[in-house]
Amino acid sequence: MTDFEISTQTLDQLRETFLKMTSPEWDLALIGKSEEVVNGAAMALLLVQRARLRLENAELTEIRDKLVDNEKGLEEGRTEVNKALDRLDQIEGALNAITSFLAIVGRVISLA
Amino acid sequence: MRFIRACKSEVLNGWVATGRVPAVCILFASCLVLSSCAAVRTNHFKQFSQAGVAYSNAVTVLVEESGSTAIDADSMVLVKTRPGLSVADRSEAILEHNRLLRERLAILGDLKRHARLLGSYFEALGALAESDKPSQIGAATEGVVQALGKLHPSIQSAKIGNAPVADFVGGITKIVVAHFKAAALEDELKKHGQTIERELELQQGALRALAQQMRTDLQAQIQQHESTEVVVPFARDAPLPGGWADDRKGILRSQMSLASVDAAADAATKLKIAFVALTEGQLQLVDVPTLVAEINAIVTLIESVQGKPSKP
Repeated sequence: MTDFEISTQTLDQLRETFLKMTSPEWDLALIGKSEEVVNGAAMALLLVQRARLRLENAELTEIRDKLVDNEKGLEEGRTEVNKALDRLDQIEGALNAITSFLAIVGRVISLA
Repeated sequence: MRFIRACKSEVLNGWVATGRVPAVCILFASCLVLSSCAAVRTNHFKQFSQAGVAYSNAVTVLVEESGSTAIDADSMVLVKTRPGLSVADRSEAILEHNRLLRERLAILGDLKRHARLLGSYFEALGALAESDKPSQIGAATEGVVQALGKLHPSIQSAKIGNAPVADFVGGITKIVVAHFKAAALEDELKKHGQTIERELELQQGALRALAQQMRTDLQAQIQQHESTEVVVPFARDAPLPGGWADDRKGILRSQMSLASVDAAADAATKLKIAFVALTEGQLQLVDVPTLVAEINAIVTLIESVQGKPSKP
């Protein structure tokens, strides 16, 4: 089993345990039990929740790190696409400038 | 002035004089056919970018909500276990759990930032695909030729076939620029297609993890609410609290919020299917408007999770 598989299985088991310990059935089973048993169950639930938080954070950290690794490619793609848009803007700008220039030339020639 | 002389050259006069007009018309017709293929493909990119932007917005909402449900679930556990803990254990628990949740929120903040970056990539793609620059540049080109025509009457009166040269040149320019746009989009797909594919695979993993975490947090809260408000009061000897029946109905109906989380996990898979279809030129087989609507519906469902029972 890989580390990832062990971690996933552990997390699945923790979640299953956590849901059992927060279920109505669990609470009903604790009715009438001694203070020692009830307090022991409370501490166990707390520790299960803490372990779940830690493992889930580790899982999200791993995913986050892989996404961040992929960001360079996304940024490059965005830059390239924006450059293509800029080139179109420049073409239009240049053509409009030529039209304005020709209009000026036309006025000069007609005056001459 | 050199430019004006060039325009007066045999090229333009020769075409009209020597009967090359039919060849020009064939060329123009071919350009029109190619232009319509480019337009279809560009529209595919536009549709895919719309789905991508919708997805990125949905992920941002999901990430935000998953942070809130994690805090709520943890508060529920702390309140439930508090009576059984010593002062020292309570102090240690609250500090450690706050630290872990702050760590969670920081990671989720990074995921949200990344989702915004992904959204801005899709927006840029959409902006290029939707750009009206071919028409604008075509019109600007016509403007140049008309300005030239004012300087030299032979340019003004020149025709290609029956069309004034300004209209003809403007039309061809529009087609050429549309091809440039389509080529730029295809080029982007070739250069960064693997990046996007990897991104969507990672997004599938991220959404699956977030959905599982959120599902557990929500289910635990719903269960505890059922236990404290409905099941345990009913089991004990004391009289039932007022509103017990309404509480019971609300709880039994709250399974809907879990379904929204399951739907969210599918969003990345659906977007990936659309992406594969785009790369294979088969996006017309994907109902993109429905995909966008489904992704947007996920946002509504996730936001409705905020109405979930939160009493521990």
